[in-house]
Amino acid sequence: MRKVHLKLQGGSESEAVKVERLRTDDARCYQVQCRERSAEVDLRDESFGSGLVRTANAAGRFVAVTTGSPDRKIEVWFAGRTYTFETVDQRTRRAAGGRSSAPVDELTAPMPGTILRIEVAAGDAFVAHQTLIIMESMKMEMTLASPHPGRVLAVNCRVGELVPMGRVLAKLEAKEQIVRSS
Amino acid sequence: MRIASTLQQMGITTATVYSDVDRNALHVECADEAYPLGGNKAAETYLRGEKIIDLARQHSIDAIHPGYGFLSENAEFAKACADAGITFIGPTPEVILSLGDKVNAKQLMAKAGVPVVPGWSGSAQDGPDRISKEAKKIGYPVLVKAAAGGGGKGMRVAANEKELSVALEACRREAAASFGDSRVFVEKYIAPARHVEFQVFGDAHGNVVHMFERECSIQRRHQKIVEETPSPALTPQLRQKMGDAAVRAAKAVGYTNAGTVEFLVNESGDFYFLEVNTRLQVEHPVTELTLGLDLVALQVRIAAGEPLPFSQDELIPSGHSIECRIYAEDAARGFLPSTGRIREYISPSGPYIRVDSGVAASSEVTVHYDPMLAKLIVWGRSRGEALQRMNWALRRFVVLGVTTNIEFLQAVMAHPEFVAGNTHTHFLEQNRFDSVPAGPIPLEVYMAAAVASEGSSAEYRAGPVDGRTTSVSNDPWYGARAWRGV
Repeated sequence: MRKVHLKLQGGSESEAVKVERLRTDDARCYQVQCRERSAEVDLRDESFGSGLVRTANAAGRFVAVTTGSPDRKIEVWFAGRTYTFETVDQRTRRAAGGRSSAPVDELTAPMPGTILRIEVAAGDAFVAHQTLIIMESMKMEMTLASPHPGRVLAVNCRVGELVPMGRVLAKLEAKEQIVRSS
Repeated sequence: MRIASTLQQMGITTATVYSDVDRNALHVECADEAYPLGGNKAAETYLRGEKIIDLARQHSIDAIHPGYGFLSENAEFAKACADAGITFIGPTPEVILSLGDKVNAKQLMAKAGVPVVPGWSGSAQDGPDRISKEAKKIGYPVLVKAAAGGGGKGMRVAANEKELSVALEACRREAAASFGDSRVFVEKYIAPARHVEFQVFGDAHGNVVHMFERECSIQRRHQKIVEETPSPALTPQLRQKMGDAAVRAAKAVGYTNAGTVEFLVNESGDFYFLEVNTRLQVEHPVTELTLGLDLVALQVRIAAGEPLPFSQDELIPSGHSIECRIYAEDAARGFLPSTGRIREYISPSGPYIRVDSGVAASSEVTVHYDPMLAKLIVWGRSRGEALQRMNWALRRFVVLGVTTNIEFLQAVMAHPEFVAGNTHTHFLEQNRFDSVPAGPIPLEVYMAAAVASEGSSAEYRAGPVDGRTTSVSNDPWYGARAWRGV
């Protein structure tokens, strides 16, 4: 019997599910318990999850996919909706508990693309919703604007550069911090 | 792919071209022959007309169907095909050229007695001052459009003078990048309005028919995501008037082959010519389903010089058809395109459900091309029946690995205003669509996720596994694929 902790991506609550593999002839069958409900889950596919959940009063087909990357994201399609989960490692869960989340003031690429224009330089002050960087992706222009008033600490990209999603394009400092430091 | 299937049905050998990233793409798999273009960016592959014509010559290809994007509305390419003795399946280069220039097209239509949107067009050299003076005359809000534009690219709305200068610059830049032509024009921004277009077909013998309308008002970023026919807004009288205008528009330029005359229709039922798309449109299947026609086959026959096989009176549409475009994009984050590898792809099937798709499980959605994954098209005897069928199909369309708009489309289909047929081009901006799961997550979902996590743990311990994909279960009555109807 193993306990798997699941957290919806972007969510805060985690859910514990007990899983036990049963030996059957034709399928990989698991006995699963989540809260007060227990059910049988048949995995039809050997490489990951695609199968059937049978609970006391309902049954439903599902397709589940794990990404194979170290972040261990799990996508589940069920009844027309897709849910993305993270599995929560118990050790990191405890370590992270009680830590105050420091705001990260970074302008990141919302998707991969090419940098078209950089409207600011390091040291420049900006107001809220001011255009900082314009990028192009899939032939569409995208304006990256400041989330708040502040100052540019550093610009980490150049015009014409192809950047991956999530790449930090600029480091920003919020205005409150400027006021405090001066 | 959609094109190859028709050509093969007609007994024609098909060849396609591909870029490096597309070497394993479905369109390559489905063609009888495939030739590499080398490179990845559209500009160095699918937009390289001379490369494509060279390949066509080398392999003795008789005709080229340009598809819906890339070179499909490029007059130079059409001309180069003609010069190389290859039939271009589409209108003549002269017609593409005269209609491809939106400014010129508008003038032609006004002359032919087709109502046009009030606006202004000057020369490329006009400075922002001049344009802003004209915009004031037209009255804000105005729409800045690329003269060579299309497909929603190179368009910006400006509500005032300040926005106009930003819009002008962005529009010119986008137009230069997408079309290699930075000329822009300004016209009155008509809102609220519906986008209603008419399919037209002309042959080389001077016959032109229209194939009724498609309502394409559900748009985001000026790009359509839902299309249907007939339009819930047209009365038989208005349909007749607009159809006549569409035929007049096509005849005015001596149009041959497939084209689409786009109109804006305001609340009082006035309609204005927008532009003519000189190609087969992405949304052509809804017309095919209500008329029982294969428009690609018709394109080929007409390109071969055959006359239209029917007169206007013989075209009688039946029932209702809706198309939803499945995009790899995140509706909750401003419809931002999503990239990555498709881990699982299962499309619905059933009576009167059609899926035109270019992807499959393990396809890579890249930053290089448009993020449209598939088109889901349904037919029903009535709009209600078509809507019911669409709802069912959207709830059985599985795409994992990239974020898609499938749940968003479910929410659009369920919206009371959409159900009532009250749509306009700002429908998506002015209504709320909660695609977040309502209510608690079913416990079954947690259970499935836990098993998937547990089931894959063994493999993680055995070594890194990337790009896990499913294999189809042999038993059609078991597992997630049972409803495919295999």
